[in-house]
Amino acid sequence: MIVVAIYNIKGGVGKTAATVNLSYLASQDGLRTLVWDLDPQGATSFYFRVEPSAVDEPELLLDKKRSLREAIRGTDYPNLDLLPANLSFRNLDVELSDLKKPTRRLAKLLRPLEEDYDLAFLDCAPNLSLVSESVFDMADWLLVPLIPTPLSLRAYDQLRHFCQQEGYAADKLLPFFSMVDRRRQLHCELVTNFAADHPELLRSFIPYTSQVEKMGEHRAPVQVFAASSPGARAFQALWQALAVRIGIAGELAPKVPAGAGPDGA
Amino acid sequence: MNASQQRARSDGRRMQVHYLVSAGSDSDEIGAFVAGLKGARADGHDKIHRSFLDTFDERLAAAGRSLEADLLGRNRYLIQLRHGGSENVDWMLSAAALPRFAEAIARPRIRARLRRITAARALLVQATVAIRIRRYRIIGPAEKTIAQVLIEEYSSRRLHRRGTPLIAVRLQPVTGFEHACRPLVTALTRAPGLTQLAEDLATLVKRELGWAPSGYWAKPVVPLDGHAASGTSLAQILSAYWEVMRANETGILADIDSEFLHDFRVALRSIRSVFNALHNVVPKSARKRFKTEFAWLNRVTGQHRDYDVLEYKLSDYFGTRGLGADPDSLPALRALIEHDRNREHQHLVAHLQSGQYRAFNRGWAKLLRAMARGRARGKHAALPVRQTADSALAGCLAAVLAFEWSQAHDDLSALHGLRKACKKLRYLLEAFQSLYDDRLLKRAVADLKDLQTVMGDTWDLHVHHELLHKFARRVAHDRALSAALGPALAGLDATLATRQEALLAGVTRQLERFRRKATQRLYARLLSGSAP
Repeated sequence: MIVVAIYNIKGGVGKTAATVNLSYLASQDGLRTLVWDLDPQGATSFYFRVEPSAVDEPELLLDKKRSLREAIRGTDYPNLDLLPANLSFRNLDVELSDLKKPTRRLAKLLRPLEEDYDLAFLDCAPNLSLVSESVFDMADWLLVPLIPTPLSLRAYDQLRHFCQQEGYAADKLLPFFSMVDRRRQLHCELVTNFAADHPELLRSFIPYTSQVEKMGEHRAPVQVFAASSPGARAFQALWQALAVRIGIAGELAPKVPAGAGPDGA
Repeated sequence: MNASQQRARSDGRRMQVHYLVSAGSDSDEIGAFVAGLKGARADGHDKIHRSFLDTFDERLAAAGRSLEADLLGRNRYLIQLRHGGSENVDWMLSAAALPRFAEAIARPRIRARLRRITAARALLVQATVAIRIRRYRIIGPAEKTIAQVLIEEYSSRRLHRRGTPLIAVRLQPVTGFEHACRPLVTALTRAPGLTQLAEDLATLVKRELGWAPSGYWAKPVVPLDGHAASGTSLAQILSAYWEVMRANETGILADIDSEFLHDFRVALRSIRSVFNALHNVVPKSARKRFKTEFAWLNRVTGQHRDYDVLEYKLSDYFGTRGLGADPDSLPALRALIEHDRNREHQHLVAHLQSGQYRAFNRGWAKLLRAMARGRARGKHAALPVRQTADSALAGCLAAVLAFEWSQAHDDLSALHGLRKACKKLRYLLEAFQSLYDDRLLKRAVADLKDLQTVMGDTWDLHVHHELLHKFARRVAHDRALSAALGPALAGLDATLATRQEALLAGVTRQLERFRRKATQRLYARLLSGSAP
């Protein structure tokens, strides 16, 4: 199972939109995909129409006798499952700090699911914490959505520096641009200059479009309600670029036919 | 809790989700009932053809799985591996054709997972049925789908003759919403015209289509009474193994997969080992005749099997952890091997369709009938079978323990002799297993298997070395082939030799381990113990 975390310390940069759309596209390409909504806000869970668990269950994550499998929920799309957000995640840092090797705990939780899924997307909260470091430790790739502003690019450089300093492989960082408005000269310049200095950049970017904003109304990936829109096509291109970069392009298959079932069955 | 335990616990919570529509009800009535369930929404309908696939020896069923391929349109299949009896799916994928082998699956992970169950066996269609499907989604809070309900109406010419239509209702809870589906289960269970199914729906449908489990087992366990006469008991064992040989003939002739020939040869070797070890139980007149016949059968099937094993191991020899040969030359070498193998196959077909083989089967059947009736007896035929089995096993064990083993690289006759001695012992253990303590026998077989595995790998290497030399001589006369294959074969030659040194050392180690006192004590307990 390849683990891709979508992370940025800044909020509102398009992490959740990326998580929802990329995971949907992966599942449509026949990959058994798991999304883990690690943000207590539960936006990813909202888009997939799964209510965040109201029960305080930090012990689910920390009890060796329990399993994450108990918490998994199927989405409405074949091959796509969700570990929904839980309000208790707000206390997770405190609970993890009591453990030996706290940054390894989340990786251990995912290990039993390795055979069940090809790909896992982790939607991370916009902060820097023990949970974030756990994610840095366990993820194979860190997908970093950037909005084309100087502060956002600075935050990326800070993240790179942090990873290098703390011993996390900086070469697993995969930035891409989100909410790009090509009418703005500043956006175009920043994107071009950044691309020149950062070969790790995924060259497909997500434009600022109303269709992506409407995901909240439809509570569905943009592919479902606006398949031919620029936003949908952009996410498709981003997914293709990501699949190549993470080495999973050979696993892609024709789309699962419509009506095959809501839960991979 | 490890992954297997978690999965087992999760499987154990599966709800009963399959229902059969009773005679007198039809799919329209059931459709109206389902449409009236709380949250139900019609979600379209399809007409598909579903094929159920498994290997000849039903490995998927043995693993608790059902492989189903739905033909959705021209060159468009949806293939799913399902847990038998449930709606849990291991994987699904789209394909343009039915996969004949696990190797045909394009996606590496799924290919590896399927290969773990089916190995080199072909996937055969057990049954095909047309299905008209009506789909309903069950919507819960926040417009979230919590389940699908499918009404499946099966049809075929055979089902049409059945009179009553075969209609099933499948409830597919979305993962994690099983609890929310319990009211649905209650409603469906109480619905007039529906009967909850206790057995696996796929098995029921296949049975209605005329399929029956083959009951094939490559290594039959023959229940023996230790006090019964050796002659009649031997006839039972030989008959069981002969059935295995015959069961594999069609698959060999049709060249379905390489395991048919493998199973045929294992059964043949088992017969030979038991027949020769208990030669005093068999009438003298039969001994010489069938010894010759078995040797002939072994010879005419051997070369074909060598090619099958070489093809199987070729990717390993050329692979990244292998032996330094150039992987780009692999297709050309495969083509050569394929050509010779196909020629061997034609020879084998001719032998198995020959008068000689027919005469062998007739004579063998006649001998077995006579032995079963006590009419064909060797001098020890009347002895209790447990006594003759003990004696045969003790003799075979002594032969292995006393074998003069030499690790000399240039003379593999010792390896060949030791392999034969170990195979005899193994086949006897398996043939007479019902006479001995199961736990002790399994340990004895496991010990022997470790030694046999390393010997088998070493011997395969030797055989493949010889075959590749043969190809190299042919290639030397052909300029184009020489350019394509010459360097690869030279490199492979050197590396196989090195590997063989290491394996021979492994044989020495395993033989020393087998010859330890613990093995002798194990066999002493095995042979002195009472029958189970």
